[in-house]
Amino acid sequence: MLPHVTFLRQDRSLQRGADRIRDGRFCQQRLYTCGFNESIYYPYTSLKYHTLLVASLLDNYRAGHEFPDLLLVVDDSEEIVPHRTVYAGDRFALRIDEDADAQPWARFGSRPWQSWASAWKRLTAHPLDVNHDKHDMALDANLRRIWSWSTALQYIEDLETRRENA
Amino acid sequence: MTRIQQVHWELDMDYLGHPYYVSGNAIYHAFGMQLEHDVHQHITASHGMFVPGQFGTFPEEHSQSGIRPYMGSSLPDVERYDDLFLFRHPDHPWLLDTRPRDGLNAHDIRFQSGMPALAHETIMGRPDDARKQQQTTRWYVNAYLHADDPDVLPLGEDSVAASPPRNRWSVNADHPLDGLQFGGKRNYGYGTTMLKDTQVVDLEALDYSRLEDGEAFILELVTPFVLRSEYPKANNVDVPWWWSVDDEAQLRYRLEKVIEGGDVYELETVDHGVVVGYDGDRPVETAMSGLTRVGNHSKYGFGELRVKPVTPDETNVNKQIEKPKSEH
Repeated sequence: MLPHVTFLRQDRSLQRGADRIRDGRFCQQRLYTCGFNESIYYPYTSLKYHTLLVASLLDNYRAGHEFPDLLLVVDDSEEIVPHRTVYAGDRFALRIDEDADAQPWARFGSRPWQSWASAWKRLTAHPLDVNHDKHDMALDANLRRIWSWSTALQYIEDLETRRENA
Repeated sequence: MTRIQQVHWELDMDYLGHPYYVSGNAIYHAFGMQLEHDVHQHITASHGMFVPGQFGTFPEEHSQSGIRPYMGSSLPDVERYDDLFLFRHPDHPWLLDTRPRDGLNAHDIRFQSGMPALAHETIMGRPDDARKQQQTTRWYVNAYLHADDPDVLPLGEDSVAASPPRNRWSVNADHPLDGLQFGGKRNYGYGTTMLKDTQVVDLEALDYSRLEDGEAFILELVTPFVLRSEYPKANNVDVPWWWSVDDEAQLRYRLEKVIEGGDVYELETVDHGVVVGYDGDRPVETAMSGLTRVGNHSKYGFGELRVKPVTPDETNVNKQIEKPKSEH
């Protein structure tokens, strides 16, 4: 069974996502969710973000959006779209959706294996102060180097939390 | 004949500076101290990209294939245009998926006096059943030089090929590219490097068939493209006509700097990583210009562009474009 499916079954907090994937046929058709690059050795991977990402993909597919239609969208921090928002922080939020609503965006690409770095580097704007803030520049530099989506989101959360606490 | 000299430096100490790359300007000034002025003034340096000295597998578009141990620590042969970009992209697609790719490729950031520094080595904890996995990864800076006087390159020609292996703490004082320091707090020892590898590539002798056979192309900004500069007498430029951009407001912009003497000049750039379409009809010529770089301050490393063939796809005409088989 695909590892992300196992994760979803064990995650009771994402009940609606879990309900959806109980339809095994649905899972097999949606092999695109393998696209998120996960290293089985690197302990940094994040179950929470992996779950949110897969749920967001499933929600998009249920709405009839095909993978090539999908965008990574940057939202304002207060903006949470159920089953589409995958990261919500104090400075910004991130969503996977078909429509950017005039927010900064990047298309995923025509192939499901596209990496986080590939999307991040093509965003029409970055929600960071890379013009002046050295910490944001270091964060941006590293986000361009990371392929795994869940690792990238967990990394953002960790650094944003650290920044808040500093 | 257009020749470039690729250079690969090994970081001996943490680097305190711009985290995206070592600027071409910094590299230019670093080896300037070891060269006579009339040689130095002819040379331009690219930005220096950070490379983990890790195992890798050649990307699909590369002329070689298969796994190469310690790929990131030296320069493989270059035969095709695409080979030139092996180490130029921060996501380093050649890294092995069987290893903790992201953990090895992301910079370890150590704070020195409140400033983020990039660690010169990444030390990974090793699980009990993985005795043979690489534990420490060294970091490298990869750049290339070119010159408007062909006789000037390669630098250090007499001192490289026959050099015996050196220990880490000896500097080959004869070689103008060895023992350079990059970044801030150099007087404390930060940013010290050792020359690990260098080779000359003749750009005109490379295989450009992927471009010659292509029907449609995209351009990726490997380094930022400078539009406006505060530098005295710099001309402001527009987005080139041969870029295909639906809406210039959708390009991502970022401020950069050129530091000359004690003065800091601000630059408005189109950020690196941005991908645009190509509206020109001479992809090979554009590719070669993209290597010697375009736009303002191209001498200092800005304006490096990569040309990539894509399959023309009607549904993608108005969208940002990706190549079918591989990222590049």
